[in-house]
Amino acid sequence: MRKIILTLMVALSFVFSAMAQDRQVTGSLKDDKGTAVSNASVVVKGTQRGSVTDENGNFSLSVPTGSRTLVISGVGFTTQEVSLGSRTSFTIVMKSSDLSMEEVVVTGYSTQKKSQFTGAATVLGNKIVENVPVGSFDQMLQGRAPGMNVVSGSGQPGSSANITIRGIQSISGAGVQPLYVIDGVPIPAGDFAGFNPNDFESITILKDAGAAALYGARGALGVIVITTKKGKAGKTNFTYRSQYGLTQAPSPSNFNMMNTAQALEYEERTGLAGVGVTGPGWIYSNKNPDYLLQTPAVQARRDFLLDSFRNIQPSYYDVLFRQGVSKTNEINISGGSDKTRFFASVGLFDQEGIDLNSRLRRYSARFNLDHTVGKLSFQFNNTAAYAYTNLNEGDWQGNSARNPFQIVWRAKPYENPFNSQGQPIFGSSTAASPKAIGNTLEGIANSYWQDRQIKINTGLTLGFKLLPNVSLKNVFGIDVASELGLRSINANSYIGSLQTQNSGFQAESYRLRAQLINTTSAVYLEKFNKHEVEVGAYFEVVRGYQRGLGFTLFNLDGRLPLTGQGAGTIPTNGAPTYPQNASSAKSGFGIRSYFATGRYTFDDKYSVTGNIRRDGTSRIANPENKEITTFSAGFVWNAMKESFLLNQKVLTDLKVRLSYGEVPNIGSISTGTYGISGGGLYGITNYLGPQLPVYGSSTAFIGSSITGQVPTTSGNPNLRIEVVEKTNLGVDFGFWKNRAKFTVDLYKNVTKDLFVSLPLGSTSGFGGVNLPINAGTMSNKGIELLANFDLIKVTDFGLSVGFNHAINVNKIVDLGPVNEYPVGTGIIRKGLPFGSHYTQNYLGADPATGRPLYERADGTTTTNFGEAGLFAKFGTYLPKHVGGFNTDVRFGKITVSALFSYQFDVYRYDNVESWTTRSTAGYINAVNQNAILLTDQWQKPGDVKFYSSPLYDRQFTSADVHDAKFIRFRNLTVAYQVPALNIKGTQIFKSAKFYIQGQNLAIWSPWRGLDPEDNNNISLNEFPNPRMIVTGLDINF
Amino acid sequence: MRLKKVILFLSITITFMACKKVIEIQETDLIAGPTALKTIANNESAVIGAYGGVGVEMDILLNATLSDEMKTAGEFYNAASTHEWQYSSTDVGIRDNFTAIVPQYRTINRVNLVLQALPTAQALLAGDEAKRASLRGEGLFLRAFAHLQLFRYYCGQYTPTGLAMPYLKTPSFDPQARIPMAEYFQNLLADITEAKTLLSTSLTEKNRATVVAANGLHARVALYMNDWVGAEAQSTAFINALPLSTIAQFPGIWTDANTTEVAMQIIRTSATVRIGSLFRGTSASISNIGGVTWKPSDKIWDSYDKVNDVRFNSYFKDEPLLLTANPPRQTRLIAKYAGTGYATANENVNNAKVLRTAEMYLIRAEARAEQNKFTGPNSAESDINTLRANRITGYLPVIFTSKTEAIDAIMLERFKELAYEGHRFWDLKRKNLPVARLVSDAPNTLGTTLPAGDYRFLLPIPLTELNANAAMTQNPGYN
Repeated sequence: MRKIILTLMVALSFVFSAMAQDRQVTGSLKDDKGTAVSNASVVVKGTQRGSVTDENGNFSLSVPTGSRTLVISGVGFTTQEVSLGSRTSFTIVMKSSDLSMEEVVVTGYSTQKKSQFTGAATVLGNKIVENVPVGSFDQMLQGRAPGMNVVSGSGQPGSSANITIRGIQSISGAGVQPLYVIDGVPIPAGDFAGFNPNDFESITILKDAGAAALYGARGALGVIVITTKKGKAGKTNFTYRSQYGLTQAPSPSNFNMMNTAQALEYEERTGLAGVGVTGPGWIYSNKNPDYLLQTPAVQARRDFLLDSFRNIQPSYYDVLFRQGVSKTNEINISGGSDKTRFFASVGLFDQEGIDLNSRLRRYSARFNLDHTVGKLSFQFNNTAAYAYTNLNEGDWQGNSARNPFQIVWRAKPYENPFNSQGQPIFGSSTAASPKAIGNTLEGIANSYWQDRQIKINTGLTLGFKLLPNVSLKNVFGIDVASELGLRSINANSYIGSLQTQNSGFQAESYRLRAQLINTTSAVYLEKFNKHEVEVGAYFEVVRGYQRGLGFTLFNLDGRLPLTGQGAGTIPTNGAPTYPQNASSAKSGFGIRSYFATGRYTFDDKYSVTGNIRRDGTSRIANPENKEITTFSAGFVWNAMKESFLLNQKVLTDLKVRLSYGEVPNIGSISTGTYGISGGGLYGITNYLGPQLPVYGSSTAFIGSSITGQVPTTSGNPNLRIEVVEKTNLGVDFGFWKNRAKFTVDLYKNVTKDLFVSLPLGSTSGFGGVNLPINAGTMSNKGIELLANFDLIKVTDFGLSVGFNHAINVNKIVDLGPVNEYPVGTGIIRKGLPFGSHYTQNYLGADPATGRPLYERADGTTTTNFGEAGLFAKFGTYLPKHVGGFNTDVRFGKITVSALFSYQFDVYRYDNVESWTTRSTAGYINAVNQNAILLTDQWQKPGDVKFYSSPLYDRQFTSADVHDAKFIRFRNLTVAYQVPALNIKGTQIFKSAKFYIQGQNLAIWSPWRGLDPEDNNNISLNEFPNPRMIVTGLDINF
Repeated sequence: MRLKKVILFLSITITFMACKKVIEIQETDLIAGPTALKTIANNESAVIGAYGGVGVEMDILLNATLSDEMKTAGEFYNAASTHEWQYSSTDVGIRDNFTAIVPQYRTINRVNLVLQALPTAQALLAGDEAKRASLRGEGLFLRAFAHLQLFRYYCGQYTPTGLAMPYLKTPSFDPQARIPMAEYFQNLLADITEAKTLLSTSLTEKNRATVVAANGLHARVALYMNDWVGAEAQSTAFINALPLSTIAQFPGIWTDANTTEVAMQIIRTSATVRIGSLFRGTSASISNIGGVTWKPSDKIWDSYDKVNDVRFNSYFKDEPLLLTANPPRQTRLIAKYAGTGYATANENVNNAKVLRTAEMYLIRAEARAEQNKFTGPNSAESDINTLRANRITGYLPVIFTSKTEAIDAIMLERFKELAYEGHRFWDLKRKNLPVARLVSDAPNTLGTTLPAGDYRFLLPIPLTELNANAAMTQNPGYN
């Protein structure tokens, strides 16, 4: 690390020569509202001498004698020249330029003025990601942009969020993520553990047709455009950031599992009810009829054993989870001259999760360089990172007693996990001698799951001004992820002895994914009088490659853990062949697009935009359907330019935007996966598999030595690409110098040619197999509101609040030849929203018999599960309402920022509660039960209770669908701005910031469980989002 | 200087633009589309795959369940809807056990893909050109075989204008309509006729189709068409190639000790199908014999000369061990596919016999009787006497005095000879006879008789099929 920095420093010293001191001038920059302008560049005209303002807007600079003028520039402000004269102190008011951060939209292909932007976009600054102690930046977007639902599926450090913009737009591509583009180069969703969000300058969410039309088939689900920081001309800026903190498990407060006394009492009670209970609460109970048959000695022994169990009351949370340490260190350097600017950073992010063994270490570097010579300019943006993730191998097992997120609630509460030496007690686990926790701990100590990723994202942009009004541009980008994964179980362990060949397990796999993009464009821009015309022609090629390989080894040497060395032979057990334990796969795809954009603006008052494009892709197998032509159009009225609004002071912004267009959706084309050996860690995408008639080997015919082959899939020769028609109507308005600002958008997205599953007839040879056909229609209608208020803004005190809320209504409008079909635990039905739960309606225990009561299809009740009707009236797992609110308070040098995020009208299956409240023999003997059963379970005729008698299984039903709404205290940051430190006239640092930041501080939800937030319809064994509290220091030298 | 920059810019741009075929990138790592059937050897693999879809187990169970061949043993009975003819187009018993339309068309599709690919498949090995022809023959044979099966499940007695099923000659996802029987059988006969010119004449390979097997299939087709001349000619060709087994050889056929008189069989192992488990489950031990689902009907049990007829002991067993169970179990067992001993690895495992000579004698006898050749040399009488002489020790020939007497005797002989081989129910349908169970065999009064010509002799087209295939027509009675 130190070496890297040294090398950088040496390199930079060639660029910047030492500066002689002549005359010292100081000053401060403020905007027209009186707020300090930091990071603005102050350069002595005609020299390379310059400085950058600190966090308080102050600068100081030595000026050679003879210099007359300072050139002052900053992002979002008009560059101005200030005459030096003989003054040595300046107070300069910067004028907002039209292109301030707040006034432009970065589409990734161009930067457009908001007054001329016809689409719907939310622009987020870098503040929302800066110093947030989360490994994957997409998690930080929750509650920030209206219409964007961000949910996290796992609290594993570095794991990605699941993002839905303006609702699910496809059945087959329901979980597909929006497009992410960083400095013009796409990055695959989920690959963010290797990016340092502190390098980001802006994040823009493009939501409508006009915006996404630039990205064609890749942009149908919305686009998240990121730009990274650029250097500024002037004195080199050097920043050091450091952070230290803790991650903690969320409290299981509303998760009401039985304690030891309750579990033993409940076992006895359930045993008396006639259920075959095997736990000590029943088998050692003196109420057990078997007890009376025993000799007094045996009875005394049973009393003793039961009493021993009664005294075991450990806390499994403390045993299975930890307080993890999180720390970061980062250095960045930026600066440049008026021709060449650079930004360089190196960072270390190291975070331990709450799960034992879970950890992310990221070592990242970025180098951005801009250079302009005459008409030619180039930008070179690079990042490279090594992300080393450790996970708990028990989590990989999923639904398994080895998974700590399962066993923590599943284990009976009277297990003593440790012996007198403090070592876990492990081995065969029985009801009378439970070792579930001990085995999980022994498994965690002797198993490994690691992922090492090298991530490179680099792009070169060349620009050339061919004529004063014609610019040529070429962007070439490479995104590469090289991943090495490993799962390993130590041979010299109890868990290792349970593996195939009884001696450990070692699986490793490797995957390389690369994506190249090249965009060539020519843009003509002409202004005459009040007219402005911009026309662009673009040609773009995207090419993706994947290759992976892997192997699995058994029969390892216990002396050599975590390696494939020393593995013994595998017996064939007399079989003539042995299956391969190694495999590889490769695949790729391409997209070719031609498109043209146009804009006409009159007097910055009215703008009309249009776009037409032709996209072709290898991801559609049928040559006839590979290419598709789509268009979009938009209009914006910037009312503030109208004469009738000139003579008033209240309304300071009013824009009306309208856009309509079609966007093909490449994300909804079903893909398959080539499995590769090596522990099931990686798959290689099989892009065309579901569209092709695939053959597989068949050994059903014994009468020949030749191995048969049979068609295994039908293929789908008629597939076309889905198209989303997007309409957006938006209004932006602001009052009182925009201290109250609002954006309201109404939209309607209609997916046409929606893939619908149609069962094939027998004569196809694939009777009953579902074939997706382009036959359906789906709609998403919604409203989005964004509001920001600068309530108080005086010198030493400021208060602002922001609020965003979105309502999305999804509806399956048409399914072509079918009306409905079930998918998993839900149903796709005409007229219902996507994600609707579909199950039997459980009504409680029958007071007379204790049997479970269900609703029949005709509305009557029955205790026979087979007669229960299936209903789709239990809501959907996709929230209808999503939003957030935030506040920023400033007292002098202290700032406090808080963010709350929420969602409601959302329902999920709680499989954990299903297991913990079913209480029939199979459950009560294997799973600790919920304490609610002590009070709300039927025991005798006449009881009016929700849970049925333990003699009858109530089944997996509507009783397990629960409200998953929540309000989360997502983030709190308290920062103190440390003033410049000078010792004996030498400046030690220009400015510094000390802060305390908390993430996921609290959650309010009716959900019973660790975390209501998730990315799917059902909850079981989930890694909850941890609470994180960090302190940090940023020093600017 | 400026020109230089323009050239630099353009050259970089053009380098990146030179990816012409970017939208034509193929999937390279899976066996799909044309790759799957590239060579003759690949096509042979696909033909083997098609054989893998051929089975007679469903036919055996259907014909036994719906006819008078067997009765419930009182140990396990969940086939009320089928055994008692209560099924509709959505019946779960039919859906789970007798959805013949899916596997038969699956086989047909497998074959059609091969027939489509064969002409252009690459011949890489010596003998591949000969194989190209023989594989086509096998494909045509299997296509005809599967289509006849579909006819037997879903269609009524042959009349040229009657409703057959769709005859698929090329792979297609399009809705397919049922066609008239005359056209259907024209296709069937064309396939068999061409197959015979391409198939092996040798009988050394009995696991795959041969000319002899094709003759047998042709005879069966002719029988279903009431083409008595054709049936007599084709069965004669079969019989001439493969004589009837003797009394001494006969038991060996059912233990798979020999394959005399079998022209085509399907090898079964414990890993594929245990045919015997259709009637009785496998045993935990010698003293704990597997659960008996079905036992022989009294009607069939009592139809044999139990001492002299070799078929009785080859097909049935009166198992005294079952009496020792507590409580004692009934003792009559269907033992035709009993495999090796109780609780051994190959219990209930036997090869399926697809075409054998005895059936050809019975076809020829019927064809001759229908042509009024019921007595004398080369008549129904001579065929029945030959067959019985090879089954019954000390058999005395009979003389038929009328066509009716001959037909009745032939139907009884088919009942006894071809029991549990998948013919009985369809024979009754073909001859417009009722299913007439003895009172002692019937599960209840309703389940005693299925009147001749009842609509349930034709299985319903499954509702799922009607939903998926808009051109499909339901059989009468099920709407």
